[in-house]
Order: sequence, then structure tokens, then C-alpha cells
Amino acid sequence: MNIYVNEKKIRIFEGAKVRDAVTRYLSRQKKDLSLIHSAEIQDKEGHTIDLDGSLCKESSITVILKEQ
Amino acid sequence: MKAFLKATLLALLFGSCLQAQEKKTINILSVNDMHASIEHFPKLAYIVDSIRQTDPELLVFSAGDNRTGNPLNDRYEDPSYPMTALMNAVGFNGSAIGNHEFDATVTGFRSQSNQSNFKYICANIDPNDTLKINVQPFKFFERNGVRIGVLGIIQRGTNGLPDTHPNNIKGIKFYPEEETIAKYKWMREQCDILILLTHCGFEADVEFAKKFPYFDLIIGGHSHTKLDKPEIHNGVLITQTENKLKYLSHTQIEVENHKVMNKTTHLVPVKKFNKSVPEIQAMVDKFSDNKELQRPVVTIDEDLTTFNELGYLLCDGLQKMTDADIAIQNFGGIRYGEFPKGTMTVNDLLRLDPFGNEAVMYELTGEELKSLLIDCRLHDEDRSPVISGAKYEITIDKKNPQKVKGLKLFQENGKPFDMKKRYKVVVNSYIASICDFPHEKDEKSLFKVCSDLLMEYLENQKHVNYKGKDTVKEIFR
Repeated sequence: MNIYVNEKKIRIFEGAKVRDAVTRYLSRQKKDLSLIHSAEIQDKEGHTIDLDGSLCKESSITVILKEQ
Repeated sequence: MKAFLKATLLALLFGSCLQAQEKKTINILSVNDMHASIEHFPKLAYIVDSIRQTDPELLVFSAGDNRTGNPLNDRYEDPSYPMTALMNAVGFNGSAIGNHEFDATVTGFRSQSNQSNFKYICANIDPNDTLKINVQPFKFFERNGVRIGVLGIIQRGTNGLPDTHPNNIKGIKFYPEEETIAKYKWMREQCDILILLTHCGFEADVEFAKKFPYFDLIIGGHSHTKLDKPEIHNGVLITQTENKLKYLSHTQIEVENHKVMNKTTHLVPVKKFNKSVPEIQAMVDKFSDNKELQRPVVTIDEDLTTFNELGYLLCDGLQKMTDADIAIQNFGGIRYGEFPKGTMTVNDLLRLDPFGNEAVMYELTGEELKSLLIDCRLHDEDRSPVISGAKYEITIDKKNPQKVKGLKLFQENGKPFDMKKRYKVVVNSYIASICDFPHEKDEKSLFKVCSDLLMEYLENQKHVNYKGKDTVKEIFR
């Protein structure tokens, strides 16, 4: 399924969680994957969501990285 | 006499007017996606008890996914009994069914639902009567002369089923969410406050609010969204509390003359709360002393002395339990590289694979499989992944280990590998997240945790021997 992370389209497996999409995003951006633990993640309306949250097709999330 | 009757009537009328004008506040506490965070229950109990002291008519709901996420609960002798016992002790009044409620199959949920003092509420589920699952589509509550209706709904994925392995929900039918909600519009006429208790995610809840504005409140879960301010969409208040008892939501609905006059909600921190109920703490302590973790799973016949041998153990279980042709394990995900012959316990297995990753199934050609293996190595600090169901020889540039010069696949018996054939390849969800390689067919989560699959496999084997198993040959040239 396709979802959007920071407006970038990402193809990821059906049933993926927020954690999987953010991992894919960080990996694609060649960022340190451990940044996931300090990242603030929001849904398209700006609400905080947890890494274990579920995603559906065309979900759009924002990842705000706190660089270490 | 006439004057007396007139006075009585006036008094009655006046009295009833006074009664009609009396404002009543209904207090509702809700949580979602607790995922077996039993450790926070003593604090949750303290907050609930405090509010119940001022309002004994308090209602407490969960929006589902009460279990899954803590082996102390999920691997209890009677799976999920700790959560059920704690929810009973705190005095929950109802729960939505979350997709993870089925992780211990229908049998597990049957036990969970039948031991609950509260009702599981879900309207778009139709369990066969023989399954004896304790669920009802809706429930009415009377509180202080106010009638409250609660309708429950569970999410369905693209396959029309909740996000769990299809084998977990055999014998249960699931119906479309919105069609089902529409069928229960009559509830609006039968209560003063109408609540939709969902496990569908915040985006779906907003859609429900748009289409069904006659609900007063939606208590949601599934997307683990933190709604820290009152969210009103199309007049419907929506609440959700992220997950794992970080917060609970306290909603207050003011009713006057059977009409909702005002409603608001706010989050109360639970995890960071500093008071707890000793009796509930004693229950948690008892559940935390879980002998289940020391339970023997399998006997290892010979010392395992390499990461590849233990990686093969991980792959073999995953492959066999999912009927895959091939399983792949990233090297970095094998958490120890030695295990002496003898008993392997539940705890040993959870230390070997502590991540809780789910299994993801691909359908790949030989060429696509090659790309996956190379990509997995590239994203795993240049460590080659372990494989079962096939073997491979990888040629790496000795001056630059990031550069793979070639990869040759073989059948596990050493015979040539058909590169054009399509194979069912199972991996963990971490591999499926980091590996970004070209492939034609979409991969899917099996909604099964890899360590659970492995445990089930090994329990059935009694003895295993992976000594000398090495399906990866690295050539530095």
C-alpha cells in the first residue's frame, strides 16, 4: 500500500504500522534509524500518534526528527 | 376541593418542571489500546476510584486492543487473564473489540470475553453461536436518570477482516462498519446520550462523525492517536488516548431535559501519575511473577555456537509455520550467538527475538529474492542475512564490503535454483521496512508475531538440532 511520510510517497506492506513506515522513511533518507525513538510523529491533523499505531492506505503522517 | 386539586396539579407540574430543568452531568472515563500495560493499572485504579468517589455512577470504557504487547499477560497460562482480572477489578463497564483481541485465536478471546464482568460491545461482528463468545452489538446504561446508549464497531482491513491472521477469526463474520452503524440509528430515539465505541482509527472516526452526526461522542482506538484537546467534528466529540495507558480520557456530558447541553473531554496522565491502589499493585505483582517465562519450550540437542545456527532456528520456525518456501532473518535481529545444549525456555526465546515484529509475506521471483538479500545486507551493517528453504553464495568486494559483486542462489540441497519461479518468502516486519527493492507483487503482513510463530513451532518439535546449519557462504574477493 502507499502512504505518505513528510509528503513523500512510500510503498510499504499492507498491515504496516507507524513504526514500519517511519523506519522505511529514515532508511530511505539515509538517517540513523535510532532517531525513531525520539521522533515526534503526527497524523495529517497534527495529532501525536504512537509508533505502534495502525496505518491504512493513503495515510499521511509527519515525522519531526530531533537530531542527536 | 377544586382549590386543593388545582394546588396539587400546580405542585406536580412545578415539581416536574424543576426535575426537567435539573442539569445532570455524566462522567465517562475511557482508554484505548492498553496493549496489556498491566504495570500502570494501580495508577489507573487510583484515578478511577477518586472520580468514582465523587460520582458513583461513573462509566468506564475501553476502545479495544486490551491485550498483546506484554508477555506477562499474553503468555499467561490462561492468555490475557491478567488484563481481564485487572479490568474487572477497576470496574470497566464495556469494551470495544480490537483486532488484537483475536491474537490468541477465537479460543483465547472466548475465555477473555467470558471472564469479563463487563461486556464486549461490537455490532459488525457475527460469531457463530457455537463459538460462545460473549459479545453484544450495543448496550444501554442508566445513570442518574439519564439513558446512555453505546454501539461498538471494529475495523476491517482491505480483505474485509480485522487486522489479524485469518486463522484467528475462523467462524466469525464481519460486516462493513458504516452500513452497520446506519442500521442502529434507532438507538438515537431510545437514549439521551449516544456513544460510538470504535476500534477503527481516528481518520475513520472523523468520517463516522461526518456521516452519523447524531452520535454525541465517539470513543476511538486503533490509530494510537493522542487527542489532547476536545475534538468536535460535525458536532460529534471524538476522544482517543494514544496507547499503553499513558493517559485516560475524562469526558463530561451535561444533560438537561433529556438533551445534551454541553460536552467536553480532557486527558489525564496515567503513566506519570504518582499514586496507586495497593490491592491492584498486589495483583500486578502476582501476575508479574510469571512462571510461564521459565517454561521449557524445546530441547536443543547440541550446543549452538554461531549466530547463523541460531538465525537458522529463527528462520526454520517462521518458514514452517507460515507455509513459506523461504524465510529470511536479518543478522542484526539475532540477539545472541551461543546456546548450550539442553532446555530452551520461553524467556530464552524472547531474548533471542525480543522485538515483537510481525511476519510479512512476499511473493518473489528468484531475481527479486536476490535483490532482497542484497538490500537486507546493505541495510544491516553489511552483515549477510540468514536464510532457510534455500542457500546462497555472496561475493563481496574485499576492499569495500558494501559492494556486492554477485549472489548465487541454490536450493537447500545444493541443486540449481529456478530464478524465474515465484516463491513465498517470509520475513519479519523490520526487514520489510528497511528493504526497499524492486518487486512486482505487493507484500502483506500476516498479523502474526514472529516469536509467537517460532514458539508454537518449537513446542511441537520437542527436540531440535541446528548444529552446523549454515546456508550462507561469503566470499571476499
